[in-house]
Amino acid sequence: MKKIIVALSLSVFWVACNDNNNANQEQKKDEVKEQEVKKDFKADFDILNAMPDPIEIVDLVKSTGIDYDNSLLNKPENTEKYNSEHKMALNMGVYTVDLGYTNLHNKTQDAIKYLDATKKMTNGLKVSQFFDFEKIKSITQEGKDLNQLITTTGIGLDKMRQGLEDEKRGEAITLIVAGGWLEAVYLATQVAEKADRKELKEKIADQKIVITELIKMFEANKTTSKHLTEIYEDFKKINDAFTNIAVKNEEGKEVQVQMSKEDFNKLNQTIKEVRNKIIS
Amino acid sequence: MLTAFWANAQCDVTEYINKCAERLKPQGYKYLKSYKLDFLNGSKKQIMYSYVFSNNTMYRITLANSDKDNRGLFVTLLDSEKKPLASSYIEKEKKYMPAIDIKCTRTGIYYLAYSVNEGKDFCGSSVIGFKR
Repeated sequence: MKKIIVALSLSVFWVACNDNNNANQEQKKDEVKEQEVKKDFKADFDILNAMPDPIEIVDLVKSTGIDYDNSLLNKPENTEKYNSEHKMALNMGVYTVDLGYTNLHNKTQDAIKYLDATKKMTNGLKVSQFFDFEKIKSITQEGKDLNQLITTTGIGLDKMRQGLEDEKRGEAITLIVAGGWLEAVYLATQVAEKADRKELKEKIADQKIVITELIKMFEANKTTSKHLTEIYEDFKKINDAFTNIAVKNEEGKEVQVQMSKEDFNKLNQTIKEVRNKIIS
Repeated sequence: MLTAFWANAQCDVTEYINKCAERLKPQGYKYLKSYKLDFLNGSKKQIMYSYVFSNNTMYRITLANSDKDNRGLFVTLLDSEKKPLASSYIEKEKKYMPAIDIKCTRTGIYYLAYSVNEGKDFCGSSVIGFKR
């Protein structure tokens, strides 16, 4: 009987190992495929460089006076879930925006957690060399010089973008930009639900410019891989939600934001769904 | 390999970016973006970048090169149709301003055209800052 149990557990172990090997092989295949995808991805670096920095949105969100709410942010411990390069890139964008949000609200403890989450993503993407994490951490802990903190983080992000461009890693940079943009718009729409501020609504409506460019890039690459097809379809939903939204800015007249309650609700819901899928 | 190293060593902008960032501080502008301006020893006449500026936002575009007054280096801001809106070079006085401030009244894409007018300093940097 004992022998049978041993044999059974060995075979279970063998099957488990075998499954594990298969899983490893699958993962390796995926990694190889991702490496290949990197070369195939068509990125427009000029457009990516022109994208407005999400800190502008986060700064506006903070100015509404709505209380800091860390339940809106992606959980720092979610880093464990992100094993593929595309997930890491998207969530690197998400975490940098969350880091900006905690910093602007001077929430040192949370900021340290988001700094660590960002660092993990940069390690996974092999771009940590562009950031001076020790310096960023020390400025964050001191909590005195917000501008210095924004500058040091911003310089790191710029170096990383340049580095990724030099390495022709267009997919990584596009996904970092898209993830950051999505998180900033998510925070803006969540806060706009509570605070009816014209400036915030205008900022949200203005994002039509960004999604129009992002969707062009994702469309050009949608057949490159399964995950890019999915990302394109998700961002297409956001693009569609912007259809009726517009900003009218005529010379000498006050700016008019064209966004009905229904338009806002639809956009808010779509942004939330796509963002939650990305961070899951 | 040596050529590549030499080319990179010629235009290291770390110090200039810090100088540009310092120029944002006095009026409380926050850092947005930095650009490396490598005119490749003069073979590049102009470097163009674009950025989406937002309505009701103040932007400061700062410049720096090895000269303390950034002599020779200037930026021209152009609208989406590439019509010039502002320049950091005051032709009448032959003066190179270290920064220009603009208040954006229409969200859209704008172009930043960087040039070197005189001298032989073909390496510099520019940083954009914002405040509301």
